[in-house]
Amino acid sequence: MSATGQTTQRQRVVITGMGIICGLGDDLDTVWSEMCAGTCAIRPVTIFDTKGYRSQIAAEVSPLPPPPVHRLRENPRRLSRTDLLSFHAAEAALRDARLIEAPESMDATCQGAACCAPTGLSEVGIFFGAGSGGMRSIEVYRRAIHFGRLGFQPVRRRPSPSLLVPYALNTTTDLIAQCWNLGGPRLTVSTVCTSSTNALGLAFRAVREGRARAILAGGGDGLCELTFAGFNSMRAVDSEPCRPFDRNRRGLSLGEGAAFLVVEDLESARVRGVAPLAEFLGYGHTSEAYHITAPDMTGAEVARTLRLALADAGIAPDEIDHINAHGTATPYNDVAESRGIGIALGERARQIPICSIKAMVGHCLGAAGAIEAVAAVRTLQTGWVPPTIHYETPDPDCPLDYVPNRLRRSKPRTVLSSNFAFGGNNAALVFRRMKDER
Amino acid sequence: MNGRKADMNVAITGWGVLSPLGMMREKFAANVRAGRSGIAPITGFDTSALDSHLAAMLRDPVDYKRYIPAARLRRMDGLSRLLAYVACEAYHHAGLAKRGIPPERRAVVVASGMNHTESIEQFYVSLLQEGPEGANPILFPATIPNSAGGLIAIELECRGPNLTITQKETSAEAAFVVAANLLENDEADVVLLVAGESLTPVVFEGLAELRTLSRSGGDQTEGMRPFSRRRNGFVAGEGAAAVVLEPGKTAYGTEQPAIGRLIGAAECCQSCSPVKYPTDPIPMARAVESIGAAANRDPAAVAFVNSAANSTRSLDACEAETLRWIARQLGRRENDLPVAAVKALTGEFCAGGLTRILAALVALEAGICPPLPFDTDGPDLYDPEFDHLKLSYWNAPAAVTGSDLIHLASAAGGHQVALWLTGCNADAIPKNVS
Repeated sequence: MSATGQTTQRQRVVITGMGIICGLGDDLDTVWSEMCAGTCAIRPVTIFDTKGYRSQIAAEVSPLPPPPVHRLRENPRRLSRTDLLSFHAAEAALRDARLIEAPESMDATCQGAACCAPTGLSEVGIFFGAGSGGMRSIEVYRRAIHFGRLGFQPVRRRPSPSLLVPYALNTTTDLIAQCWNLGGPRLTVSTVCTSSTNALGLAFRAVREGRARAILAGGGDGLCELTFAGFNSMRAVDSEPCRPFDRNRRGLSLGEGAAFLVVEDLESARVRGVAPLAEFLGYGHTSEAYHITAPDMTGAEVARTLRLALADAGIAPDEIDHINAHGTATPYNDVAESRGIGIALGERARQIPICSIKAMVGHCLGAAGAIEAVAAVRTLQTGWVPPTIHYETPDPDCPLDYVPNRLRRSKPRTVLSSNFAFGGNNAALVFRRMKDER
Repeated sequence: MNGRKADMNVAITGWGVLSPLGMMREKFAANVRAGRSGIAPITGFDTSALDSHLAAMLRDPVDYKRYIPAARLRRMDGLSRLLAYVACEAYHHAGLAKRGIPPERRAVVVASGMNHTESIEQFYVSLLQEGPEGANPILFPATIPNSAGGLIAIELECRGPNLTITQKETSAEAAFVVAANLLENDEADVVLLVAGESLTPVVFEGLAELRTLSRSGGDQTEGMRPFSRRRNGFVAGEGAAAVVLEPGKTAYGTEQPAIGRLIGAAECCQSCSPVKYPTDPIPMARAVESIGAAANRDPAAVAFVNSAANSTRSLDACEAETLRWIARQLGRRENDLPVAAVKALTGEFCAGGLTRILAALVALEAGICPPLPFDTDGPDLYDPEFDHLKLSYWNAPAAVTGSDLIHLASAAGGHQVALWLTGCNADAIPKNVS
């Protein structure tokens, strides 16, 4: 019986498909092999002028994937950078979950989404974690309007108002739903660095409680100058590629990308004959109510979040075998996170491998939680923990095992993936390997 | 209906509002009941280059310092101030300051469709003018979508879940469902649901550029005229509202009187362009039918339907057909089910759903369907296509007797939410509450 007096029946929840695009590549296998190899995708930014900024680097996706023209019913000009990244990852996840067919298996008569949905997508929902959304499109629009007004340069033609459409953060959600006729529940969460973690967590809850059969959940975030300038102005970025948990870390490196996971009830997956990739066990989310940008340095709030996720999963701290950490490489975050892990897991914290993949893919903000969840599930599947690269000097305030620089064989059974955002917004997810997984 | 729904029992135990209809609960309620519109010519910024000049904007000053210390106010932009103020109003109205609910059990859910455009614009313009040196590190945190949620959590020490939901015109209703689910999952004892928008020049200009606003020209005149044959787009609005939500059982067990109760919700999602409204009336009608069945409600108890009509050609047409279906499902004659169009008073804004819900509840308490305002069209100008609608007018508000109301919300992009609420009458207690 729930708190509101209703009876709920809990379903087992599994991951049946994943799709990803980030600075390391545009498909899961490439991204994973580059991640295992410890490749750094953080390079000079090309999409806007970075002259005068503290940092000139980010993990940019180049080239951007093309729009899905065979399905798109919108003017491609309306698509933002975030939309393009998200379309690509969403399609890959749906295909991986066998909810749509691979493009090569479509014949010449394919008319689009309707004929590519053998299992029916009318009950599949979409929960999207947004960060800056279509801000890059707005920047292009505003730049043209602004310079025209100030007389810096003549604006011969007003910019297209269609550039304004991506401003609403849920535009990506609606476009993906339209593209694949997703008729299930729809939600856009915007809690910046935890956006897609929360989108995944809320999707997990919706499926577990029988409010949805399957949900395409994740997030996407394209680079934009506003965010780049903001983090630079706060001196929260490193001029070199970031060094999570290293004593000499100077701040984060930004990135961009998108990732989606198909969150489905186990019974539905079995009926469809799709073997799960992992079981989705738990979700915890809290607010620190401490400071709008700084974390509580005691780690108590991080610990509370992790404990809530463990309690939701119904497991003990000793059962956690690996953590895919937030690990932004800011001086504050990494200490607070390490302390929080220590408080929540006790002695276990020093025995398990903990990694931050942000040294490779940058901090993808709204997409970070989903990208890291994909990495965590891949770790469960393969038994390999990706390294925390650029780690050279241990920090006494970060005394855990961060898998420095080299891939580690670990064979974890249960993993945690956690993220912490501005606004004191914390979230964590728990995944477990399944016996009959792919 | 494609979002599987659950019957619910969530009590609204406190509320606050900042609206062009009134900056205090009492004035807001009086204006809703009288059908006084908050729409007027814009005076806060220059609209001379545009075809639209009307909006429902906040015009009276707000005494923010009543709840928020000056030092913290300085770190808040316009939207955060609005949302934090109404959150504090609702918090105190529900008596939360005295009830000893642990901070970890207090959640915050914020709904905003356009988020912090004022800060974004300010930050970006200084960046354009001065280059990287112009990027203001103090201003940047205010640009993030969940900054209001974080600030409210700090202000009222809410350390439970904290979510910000963005879903265009259904933002508030989607957030309402998320908040209700937090209670249902026992993740919080109370949820502060806060929804609002700040109408900035850049938002208004953008809406005008996209030609979604009503405008004058030729034989057309600018105005907010839901269901009228002369409707030609919406008039933008702004404002903020907050409610304290608690599990129904707990609320009955305390001395907190409920002003309203959510007893069911369902969403449906149609595939349509991000700039177009859904056109199929059936999914929403089925959603309403399923809530009524799941919540075991008497169709005769429905006093009126709080429609999403916003004076656009397409949405009003779809709403009217949805209302026809709902009337049939409730076993009512088509022209015997009172219909409210509160956006005629408040204007249209993304997270305006919560303000509309509060308007509907205060009208229900007075036994009327929220009336259309004085300056909208009279019955003779209402579209013959909508003859089946029983609209309520400022000079003769439709009297209603039921305890329930159905609230509809539709967003460009195809997302729709239906909520079934009851008023505060004693007979509104759901059957499954002991």
